[in-house]
Amino acid sequence: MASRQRAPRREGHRTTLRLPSPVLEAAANLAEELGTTPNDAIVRLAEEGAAARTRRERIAALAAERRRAVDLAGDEDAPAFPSPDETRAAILAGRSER
Amino acid sequence: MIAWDTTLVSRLYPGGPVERLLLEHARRDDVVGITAPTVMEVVRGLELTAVRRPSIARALAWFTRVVGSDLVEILPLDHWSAIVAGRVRALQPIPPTGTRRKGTKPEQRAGWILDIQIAACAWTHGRELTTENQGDFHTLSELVAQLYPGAPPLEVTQPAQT
Repeated sequence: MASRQRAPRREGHRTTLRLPSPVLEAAANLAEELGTTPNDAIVRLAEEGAAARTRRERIAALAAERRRAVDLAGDEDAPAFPSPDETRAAILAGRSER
Repeated sequence: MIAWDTTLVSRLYPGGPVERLLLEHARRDDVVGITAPTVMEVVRGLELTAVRRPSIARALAWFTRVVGSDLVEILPLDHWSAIVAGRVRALQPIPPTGTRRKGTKPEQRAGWILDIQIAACAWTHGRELTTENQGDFHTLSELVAQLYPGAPPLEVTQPAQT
């Protein structure tokens, strides 16, 4: 008789979860693919998800910092607002470039 | 966290090493960003060539599917990147000198404007930029840093060997 599969030993908090069926199904598929237990597969999926979330948050934080710099630039060194004609001429300056 | 510029995207080919790299990134859930200006540049080139060589239409159809898939993330030219691109172009309206360039002057200028937009998109979307055109994009990174001195700079990296 084949011995019962065991998940690798892990340190950490022990908990009981109610899993949505799609997650359980994904875990069962991964467990079969890796030759491990469904519980171990659930942890692996959670670790993958956490890493993906961290990566997304890092990108979002960097983008937010750069966008803040874009939003704040210019205000501090503009002494007075230009006239409508000056503004329009400046906007269309690129059209007359040679 | 990377975006590819046109020098790299132009090497994408079904089953080729750059496509394998793209798939590898997607598998690691580290989807490669491609800026909207790069998509425009690539599609324009394919469309123009397809007029003379109808087989290119298949490459265009394939590329259309790739950019519509979740193997890549398209980084739009949104209001932040448009502002950055406009400011950078005002600072450096023509391509920097010192590099031998292909094409006529108007083509070089159009290429420079696209590179400005690509850099602006990558930067404002929080990506680093991977490119074979290190010279121009290092210049663009310096221009962005000059305009936004306190903000995290645009990192420009070499492509991995494929």
